Amino acid sequence: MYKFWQIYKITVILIVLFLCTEFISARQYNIGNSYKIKNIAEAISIANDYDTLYIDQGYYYEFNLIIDKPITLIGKNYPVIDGDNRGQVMTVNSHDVYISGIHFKGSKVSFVDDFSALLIEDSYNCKIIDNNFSKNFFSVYLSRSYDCTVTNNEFKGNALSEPSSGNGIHLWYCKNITITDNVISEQRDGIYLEFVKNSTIRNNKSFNNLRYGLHFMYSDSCLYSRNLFVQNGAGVAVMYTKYVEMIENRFEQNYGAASYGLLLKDITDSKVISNRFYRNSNGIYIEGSNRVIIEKNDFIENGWGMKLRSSSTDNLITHNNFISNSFQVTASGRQNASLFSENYWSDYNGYDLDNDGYGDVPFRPVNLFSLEVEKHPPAIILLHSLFADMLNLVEKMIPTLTPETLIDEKPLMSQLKI
Amino acid sequence: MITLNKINILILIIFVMGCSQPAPKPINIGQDACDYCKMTIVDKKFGSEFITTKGKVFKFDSIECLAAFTLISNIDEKDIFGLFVTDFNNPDNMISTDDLYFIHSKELKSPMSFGLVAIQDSSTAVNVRDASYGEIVSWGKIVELVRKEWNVK
Repeated sequence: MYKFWQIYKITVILIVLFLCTEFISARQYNIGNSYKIKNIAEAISIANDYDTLYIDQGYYYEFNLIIDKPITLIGKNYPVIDGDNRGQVMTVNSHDVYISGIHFKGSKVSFVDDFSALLIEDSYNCKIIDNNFSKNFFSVYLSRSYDCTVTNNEFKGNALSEPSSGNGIHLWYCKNITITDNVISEQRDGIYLEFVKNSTIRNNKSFNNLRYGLHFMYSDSCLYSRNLFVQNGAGVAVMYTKYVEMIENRFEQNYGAASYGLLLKDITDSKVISNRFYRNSNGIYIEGSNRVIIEKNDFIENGWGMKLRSSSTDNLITHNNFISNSFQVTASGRQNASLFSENYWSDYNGYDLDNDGYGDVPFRPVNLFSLEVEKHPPAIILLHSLFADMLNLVEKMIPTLTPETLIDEKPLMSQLKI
Repeated sequence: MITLNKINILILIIFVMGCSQPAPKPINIGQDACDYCKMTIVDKKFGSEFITTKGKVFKFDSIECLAAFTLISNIDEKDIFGLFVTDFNNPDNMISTDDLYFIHSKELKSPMSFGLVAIQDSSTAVNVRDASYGEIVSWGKIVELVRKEWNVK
């Protein structure tokens, strides 16, 4: 009898719970031509907290959509929401908003306002997953938000057709943002961070952007790893920032007079590890940066492997491969306050009599001709000429003008596997 | 004889053009790099220039960078022709810093994040100041601000 009551009680509780979930569970709305609700604005206005809106395949000319409650928006077969160049396409002012499977288009180009396809403002716990963005001024703009995710989206801006273009993913005063697996092209900066903290940028592909693939300003304690930056105006710029980790990225084919694979300006206590710099005008440019560790990177076939301004101090450059760069390393003056040690230099021609894997003769990566080019850029026309070779040879024998302390005391005899 | 005249005129024109005063040069958006921070200049509204009496033009992506450059340039006062900044309200015009109102506000988003814009028209400047809860600052104050924030020596 006791057992019967037990089962009876549990059944009643289960039934009550079941009815409750039916009662409190979120509702779903379908939006589309074949449904009662034809446009998205209407659906947003009637939806309650935690409801789900399914948007049918189709073309929706809507702009200034405002999401002010936690709801989920899911597109079926990428319905297009076209702002038609009239302003902001969608603004999220609420926490816990999930947006997926939608194609955003046509945020207005403006010289005064930063119109974007999707503005997320004063929010947290938002997820932007698997959407397309095309022909927008700014695409995704996060402002004063935290704990948000931007994953698996595709961005194609208007940088090729418009003289002025906005950024792909723009973060302003944000914390704990995760940006992964996005493909970004033809924007001003692929990803832009200003006053951002503790954020992660992983596995993105950023190419053909007007300015930078990725751009940091005053954004401390961030990590970016395993990204690919190809053929941007310049690869990545990290400026006025502390504690940044840059790991396993590829910087490739960023050409142009003012172009860099990686530009470090006023950076302290950061790490550049296991990256590949291939065929950039300048592999890495370092100015005003202190205590940066540059380790296990490949610098291959760049114009300048590394440009180090004398304003930088206490950086450690170790276990890197410098292979076939027109200039391996250049410095701006005779002073150098950074340490080079145990790197592999493809143009090292010393010997290793004691067979310990390190060359017995120290290597000076800066040659005299590169200093001349630094002072008089047109002198580059003499590169590989007999005159330049003679200059370098004389300087090598009797160093007088190249930085005295910029020297690798233990150059590696064979290339490192990275 | 006529051809000779034409050539003379041509030479005269070239000569006169060669003697022209230094003047702001248009910035090639997306191509020119800032001479202070090395960033490619992409936003017309903040473009700035430092011009020497010999006509050399240094270009900057922001008012902040122009101010910082004046601190490190070592160019003699008498060799400076002028400092020019784009009118925020009329981005095709570059105007001498002497004839501009500078507005400083955290609400304004300038390329180097100090929140500085320059406007020529006084009533527009007051409007922008009020809308952004900012203040109108002098050029000297901007230079001091940059010196302090970036620790420029």
